[in-house]
Amino acid sequence: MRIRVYPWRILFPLEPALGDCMTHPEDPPPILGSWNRIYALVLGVLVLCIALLTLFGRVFR
Amino acid sequence: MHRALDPLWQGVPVSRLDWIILGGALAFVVLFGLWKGRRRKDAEAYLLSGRDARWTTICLSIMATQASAITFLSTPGQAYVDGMRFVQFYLGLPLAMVVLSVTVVPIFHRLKVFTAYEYLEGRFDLKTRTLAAVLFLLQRGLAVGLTLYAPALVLSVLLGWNLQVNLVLVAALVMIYTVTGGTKAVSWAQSLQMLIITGGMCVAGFMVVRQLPAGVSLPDALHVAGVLGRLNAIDTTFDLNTRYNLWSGLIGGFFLMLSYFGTDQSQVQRYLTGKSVAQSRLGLLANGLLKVPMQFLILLLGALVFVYYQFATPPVFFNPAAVAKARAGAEAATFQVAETQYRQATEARAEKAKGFLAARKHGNAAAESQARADLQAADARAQAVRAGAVEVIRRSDPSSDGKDVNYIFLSYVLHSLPAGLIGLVLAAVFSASMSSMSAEINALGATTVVDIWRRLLGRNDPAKEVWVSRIATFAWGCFALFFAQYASRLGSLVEAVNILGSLFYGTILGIFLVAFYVKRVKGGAAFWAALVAQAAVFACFAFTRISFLWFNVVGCFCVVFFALLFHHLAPPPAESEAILPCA
Repeated sequence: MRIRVYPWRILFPLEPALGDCMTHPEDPPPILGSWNRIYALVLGVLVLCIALLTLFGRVFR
Repeated sequence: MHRALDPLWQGVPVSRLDWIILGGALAFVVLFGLWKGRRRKDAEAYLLSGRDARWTTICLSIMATQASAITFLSTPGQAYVDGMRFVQFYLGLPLAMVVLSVTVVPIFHRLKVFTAYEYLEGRFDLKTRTLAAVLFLLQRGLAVGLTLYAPALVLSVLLGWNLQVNLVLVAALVMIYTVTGGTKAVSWAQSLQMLIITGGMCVAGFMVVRQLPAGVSLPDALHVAGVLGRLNAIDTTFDLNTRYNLWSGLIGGFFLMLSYFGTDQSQVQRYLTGKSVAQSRLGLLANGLLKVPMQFLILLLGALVFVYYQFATPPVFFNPAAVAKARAGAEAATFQVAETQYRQATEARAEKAKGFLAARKHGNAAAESQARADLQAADARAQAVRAGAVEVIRRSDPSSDGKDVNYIFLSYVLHSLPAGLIGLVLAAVFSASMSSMSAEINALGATTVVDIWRRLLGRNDPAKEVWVSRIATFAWGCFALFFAQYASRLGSLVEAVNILGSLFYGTILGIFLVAFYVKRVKGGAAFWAALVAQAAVFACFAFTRISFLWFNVVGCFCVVFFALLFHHLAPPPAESEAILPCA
C-alpha cells in the first residue's frame, strides 16, 4: 500500500472538511494493476471515439 | 414488411406472443426485485443496500439510471430528424467519471455519508446542505415525471387507453418493488433491465438492417444517411448558440456530467452502495468507457430507421393524434393535399436514393456526384412539404408543438417488426423507464428522510426510518404521477429532461466545488453565492439563446466567483478548523 499525494494538493492545501480522506492508502484495482492505467484507458477510448466519429462522418458524407 | 402507411396506428394489433413477452418480462423484473430486496431491516440496508455491491452491479445500475425510456424513444428520433450530433452531448462523461473517481468517490465513501448533501453540513452549514438538497428534490422530482410519461405514452398509443390509467399502471409496477425492497431491489432489478434493454435494442438494430430493400447493404444505407446529413456526429465549430458541438459537449457536458454523477443523489446513491472505494470507482469508470459507444449505437439505429423510411414511405407526421386533428380540422383539405404531395415527394426521393446507390456501384464520379445532388434536392423537397404539413397541424391544434421526435422509433417498431419482437422492444422501453424511475424515487426518498426528516426536522428514530423511507418513496412516486400529466407539452422529452437538469446542476456543482477546493470560503458566502448563481442561470434561460449545456458552466462559475467575492466582502470570524473523521 502506498500513500498517494495528488498533485493539486500542492495548489490546494488539505481541506478541513475532507480530513485525511485524500491521503488514505489506495486499494489497488481488481484489474489492470493500477488506477492510472484504468484512467488512461478511459480517456484513450474517449479520444478514439471522437476520432472514429469524425472519420465516420467524413467517410459517409 | 411495412404494415401501413397511415399514421393513425392506434389500432395496430399487438399479438398474443407480444403480450406474453412484455407481461412476462415486466412481471419477472418486479418479482426479481421483490425477491432481492427482501428483509431490509435498517436504514443502511434499505437506502444503501448494506454497502455490499460489486462494480459490475454498480456499473449496470448507473447506466440503467441514466438511460431511461426517454433515451430509447427520443434518441433514435433525434437522429432521424437532426442527425447524430446529439452524441457530442455525452463526450464530457468519461472525463467526469475520471475526475469523480479520483476525488469525490473516496471522500463520500470514507465519510460514510448516506447522501451527497450530508457532506455539505460538515463543510459549510445546515442551510447550505438544505439548499442543495431542496434544489435536488425540486429538479429530480420534476424530471421523474418525464421519466414516467414516456412509457405511458407507449401504452396509450398501443391500447387507446386513457393516459392517466397508463401512468398509474407503470408507476404502480415501479413502486411495488422500489417501496418494498429499497436500493437493493432497485440495483438488482436494474441489472436485469439492462439485459432486456440491450437485447431489445440489438434486435431492433438487426431488424432495421435486415428490412432494407434487396440490394441495399449496410454500407449503402450509411452512404444514404451520410449524404442526407444524418451521420454528422462531430461538429468542431465553436458557437455558444449551437446546442450540440464538440466544445459544448466536452466542456458543458463535462460540467453537466460532473454535477449529475457527483451531486445528484439518484446517481451518488448507486455508487455509495459499493463495498469499497475500488468497487465504486470501477463501476463509474466502466460507465465512462461504455456510454459514448452505447449512445452512438442508439443514434445509429435512428439513422438506419431514417434510411429505412427512404425506401418505405413514412407518414407525413409521426404523431397520430396530431394527424387525426389536422384531418378533422378546418384545414382538412389543405392537409390532405400536403399528405398526397409528401407521398409523391418521398416516392420520388426513394427513386433518387436507388439512383444514387446505382451510380456509386458503377464507380463513375461525375454520375455519382449528380445522383448525390439529385437525392439531396429530392430530400429537401420532401422536407419542405413536411414542414408545410406541420404548419397545418400547428394551425389545426395550437397546443401542438409540431414535434414528432418521440413517436418515430415507436412507429417503426409497431409497423415493421414481426410478432414477438415488438413485445421484446416494448419490454426494453418499459424496463428502461422503470429502472430510471425506481432509482429516482429511491433517491428522492433517501434525501427526504436523511436530509429533511432526520436532520431538518430532528427526527432520529432508527426503528421508524425504514418505514418513513418507504412512505417518502411512495409519496415521490405519486408526485411524479401528478407532474407527468404536463409532460406532453414539453416537446422532445430527452431534451426537456436535460434542459431541466442544466437549470440546477451548475449551481449544485458549484457548491460542491467550493466545498472541496476553496478552503477559506465558509457556509454563509457559499449559500448566498448559490442563490445568486441560480438567479443568473434562470436569467440566462429566460433572456438569452445560449445552449442549455452552458447553463452548467454559468451556474458553477457564478457560485465559485460570488462565494469568493462574498467571502472577501464579509470574511467570517476566525475559528478552529474541524476535521471530519474518515471511516
